[in-house]
Amino acid sequence: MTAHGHKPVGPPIHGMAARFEDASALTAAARAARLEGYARMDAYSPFPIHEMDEALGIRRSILPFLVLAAGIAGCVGGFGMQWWMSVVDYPLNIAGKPLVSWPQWVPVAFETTVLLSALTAAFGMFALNGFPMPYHPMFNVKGFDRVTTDAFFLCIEADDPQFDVTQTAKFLQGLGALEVSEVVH
Amino acid sequence: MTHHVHVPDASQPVNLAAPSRIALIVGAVAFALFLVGWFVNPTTFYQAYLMAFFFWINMSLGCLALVMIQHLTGGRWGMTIRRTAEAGIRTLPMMAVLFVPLALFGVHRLYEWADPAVAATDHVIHHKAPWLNVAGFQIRAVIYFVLWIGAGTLLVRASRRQDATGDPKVGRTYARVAAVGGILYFFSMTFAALDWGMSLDAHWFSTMYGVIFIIGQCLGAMALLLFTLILLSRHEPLKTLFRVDAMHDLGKLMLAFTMLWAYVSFSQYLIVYSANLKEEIPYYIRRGHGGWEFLSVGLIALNFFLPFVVLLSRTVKRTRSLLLWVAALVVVLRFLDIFWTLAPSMRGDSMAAAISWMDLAAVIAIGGLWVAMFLRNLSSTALLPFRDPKFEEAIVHAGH
Amino acid sequence: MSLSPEQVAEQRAIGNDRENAPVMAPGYTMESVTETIAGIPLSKNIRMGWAVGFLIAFGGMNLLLLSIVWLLYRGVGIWGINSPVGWGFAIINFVWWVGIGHAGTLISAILLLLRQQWRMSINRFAEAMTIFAVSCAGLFPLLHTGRPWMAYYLFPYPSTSGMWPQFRSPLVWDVFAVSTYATVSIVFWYVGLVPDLGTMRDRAKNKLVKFLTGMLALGWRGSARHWHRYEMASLLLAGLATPLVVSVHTVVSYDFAVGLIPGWHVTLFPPYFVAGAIFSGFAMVITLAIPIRWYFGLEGLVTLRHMENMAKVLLATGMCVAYGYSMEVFFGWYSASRYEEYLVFNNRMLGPYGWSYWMLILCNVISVQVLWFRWVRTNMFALFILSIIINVGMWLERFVIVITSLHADYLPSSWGMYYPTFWDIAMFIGTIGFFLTSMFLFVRAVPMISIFELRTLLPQARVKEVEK
Repeated sequence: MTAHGHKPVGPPIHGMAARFEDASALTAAARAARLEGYARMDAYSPFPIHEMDEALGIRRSILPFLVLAAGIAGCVGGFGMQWWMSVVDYPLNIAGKPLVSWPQWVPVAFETTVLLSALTAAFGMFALNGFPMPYHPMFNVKGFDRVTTDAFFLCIEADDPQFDVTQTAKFLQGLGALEVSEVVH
Repeated sequence: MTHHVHVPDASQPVNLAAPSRIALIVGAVAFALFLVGWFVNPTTFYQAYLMAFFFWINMSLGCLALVMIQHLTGGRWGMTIRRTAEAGIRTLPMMAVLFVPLALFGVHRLYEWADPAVAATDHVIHHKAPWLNVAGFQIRAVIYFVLWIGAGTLLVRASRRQDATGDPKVGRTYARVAAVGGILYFFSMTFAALDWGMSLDAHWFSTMYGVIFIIGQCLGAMALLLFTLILLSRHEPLKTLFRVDAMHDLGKLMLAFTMLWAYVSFSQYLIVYSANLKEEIPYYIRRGHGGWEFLSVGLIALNFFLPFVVLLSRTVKRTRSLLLWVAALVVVLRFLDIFWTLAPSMRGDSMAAAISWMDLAAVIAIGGLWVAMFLRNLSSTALLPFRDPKFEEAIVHAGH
Repeated sequence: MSLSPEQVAEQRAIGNDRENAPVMAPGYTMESVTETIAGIPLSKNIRMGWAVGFLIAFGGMNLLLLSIVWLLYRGVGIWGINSPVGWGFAIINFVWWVGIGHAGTLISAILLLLRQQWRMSINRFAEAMTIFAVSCAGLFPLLHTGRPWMAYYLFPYPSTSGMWPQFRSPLVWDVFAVSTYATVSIVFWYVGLVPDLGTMRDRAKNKLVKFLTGMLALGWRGSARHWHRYEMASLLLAGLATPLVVSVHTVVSYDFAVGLIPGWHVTLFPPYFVAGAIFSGFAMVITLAIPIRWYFGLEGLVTLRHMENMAKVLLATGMCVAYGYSMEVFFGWYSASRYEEYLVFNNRMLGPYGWSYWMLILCNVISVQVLWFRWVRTNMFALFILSIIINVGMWLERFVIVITSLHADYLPSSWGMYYPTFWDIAMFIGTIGFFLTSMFLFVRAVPMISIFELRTLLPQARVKEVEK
């Protein structure tokens, strides 16, 4: 949205979607589209298809590094919290142990490590996926409600430099798509 | 994409006679040198012998444990290590022979409870005498070795049958031997660890001790097998058939065992440290003073922290040259762990005074024989269970 | 199209094949798998059997509410705890419920890492069980504090009194462990649900259901980029949940082991508690899975292969627990400590609570040996009975550990007996009611089996490479 409340300036449609028979056909189509030079596209399937990462050229997500950073923060934070609370701010002699009795801090530090890492893994994934996103143009595609059961779609997006309504539709048809349709916003 | 990779023939053994001979020569030379130690100081000699023996039998028994685990749980990782681990299992008869000097002579020099005078006066040792006595020690050792060699032989023989005939019923034999053998191994290893290790401190006890040894064995054997497989994968057939995915799985397992080892070791420490009981805490007090504290911290840093951090990386687990170094490090550090566990109980409060040249000589001496035997065993069979019904799926088509 | 009744009957028969049941009966399609599972929560009909079961469980839950009200009104004096036994039913039930929770995390995390495909049919359901079991568990220490509305004292927060929790106490570790475990279990479960919530959104006829599942599905559309991150997050969560689940029962065992009460101070406790937790958790999964798969006709998806594998896990963990009992006995003698020896032999085995020790050995060690026979592992009636016996046995184990060690320790002058009261028992039964109520609601509200994971098991999900 711009300040004037107009719709954003951009391609009038989101892209061109094609439905395919099964996972094999979808993967083959994605590979062919990449070979053809298309770069901006996405595949939609009812279950993860491992071959798709390579077919679409999806790069490894940075999620593991976010989780690692969160884990380090949780570990250092867990130890730091216990050290500050039981050595600096409120020192107490318990069972004659030294104030810095680190072995007894390991369980809590471990839990804070896991807590922060796990929350980062889950919510980091949501954030990178752009969730929550209840509306998306793909939902306008006819039969897309079957994508969570047994339908397979490939969508070449309109902002791809090579995108052309007729050419792209013809190309997708040539890949053996069962159905090709424009994706409206 | 098409996958017309040439699949090499996995059924032919690989000739490892040359490295085996080298190991034998190194072992023999080190053994001759080590024997000199007996004239220098027989007690130190047997102490070094015990630690070296423990280190190498841990490898043999770790192989046994890993083979049994994989027969019980399935999973394709087992397919890659099975034959190599079986070569490790087949060193057990040699280890039984090597135990004879300890059982007959070493026992009197190593364990204070073996002295009848001590057993008569010390009331704790007197209480334990029905278990801690020389005859019992020897009889139990015979039982342990019979169980281990028995279970190992049944498994190895089943594999021979599989290689020769491809009989699909071998799978059932594997599962049965592994189920019963696994339980017997768990108990017998617990008591072996008690007899040979824990009773060095006859007053001290910990119910976790056996479990720490069992997990340490699995860790050590996993690292050694990984090391061996990576070296062997420089040539066919493993060059093709030891796939990166399989190595990645084994790396994960090594990470898992590293964490488990840290978990049980730390738990024992935390429980003893927190309760601070007079019959338990001396074990850790001794390992926290006189130079031993450096070894303790070193163990945490090198035996847990370093491999843990490094093995978290996917790249390390998927790069042969890197994982080779990690595996080698873990193998070497297993000895440090054995040394930390046993030496302070035998040699007193100062670490500097507790290190002897004989320790190194003994590890190389027994190690040379062990490696020679291991490589010889490895050359006698195919490197992979090529007739296992799941072989094609697990190895040839892995990752596709 | 959905399956015809004859096809359903055929697949149930295949799933019940005692010789070689597959991980999934053949003949399913993407649609029929989806309909079989998603059809249960999306169905408008309320079946009689479900309704009756739910009402009984709901009655039990009301007993829990009543017990809590009475407890808050009168205080913990209505329980049987007193000096010297200050930890009674509350802690026994806490440990029992936490242990039961472990199977869910174990199935979904460890078996995911080990690439065991049979996990896929049971993980969702076992994870739900985890969350409800942990909720039941958390209730007990909370109420045991006496003033549960002050329970936030347990967390480190800057208070006006200027104090902090005492971090050397295992009870504080437990607060962190159990609350982390509950949080991560819920997150893990929800992440696993998201694609299936998308399925429900797309199949729901009812506007409200469509709206709610649509919101909860967060806009899931099966994008390949999303799947990539999604699978990565699942693996990372599994990798984190695995040590977490081990740590939770470990910390529970520390509650006992770091002290110096004979029978509690045992270095083996951490792994032995974890094995016991898995043992009891799998027993509970079996207890619940057997009636559910039969009632909803899911035998083609939760086949005898799954049941047999779980039975094998029971046998293995049962042997681990037996190892723990043997070590306690052996070291009771080997320790040469008269307190340890007294505890194991004079008190546990032959003392006033000896019956509970021998019952526990009977339930957890002797009865489990029947699982060596394949006949038992694949006989659902026998397995169901055995799983109940193990549930009882694992409760008795905690009873033995808590009560025998406390009622007679170092000072004979402060020995005494412990007897549970009506309200102890009512609250325990009440949590079972709460647990079952939650399970009844769960099987009606969300897909109880992970649909998208089962789709990957179908032969048509394989990508066939085209020769070029």
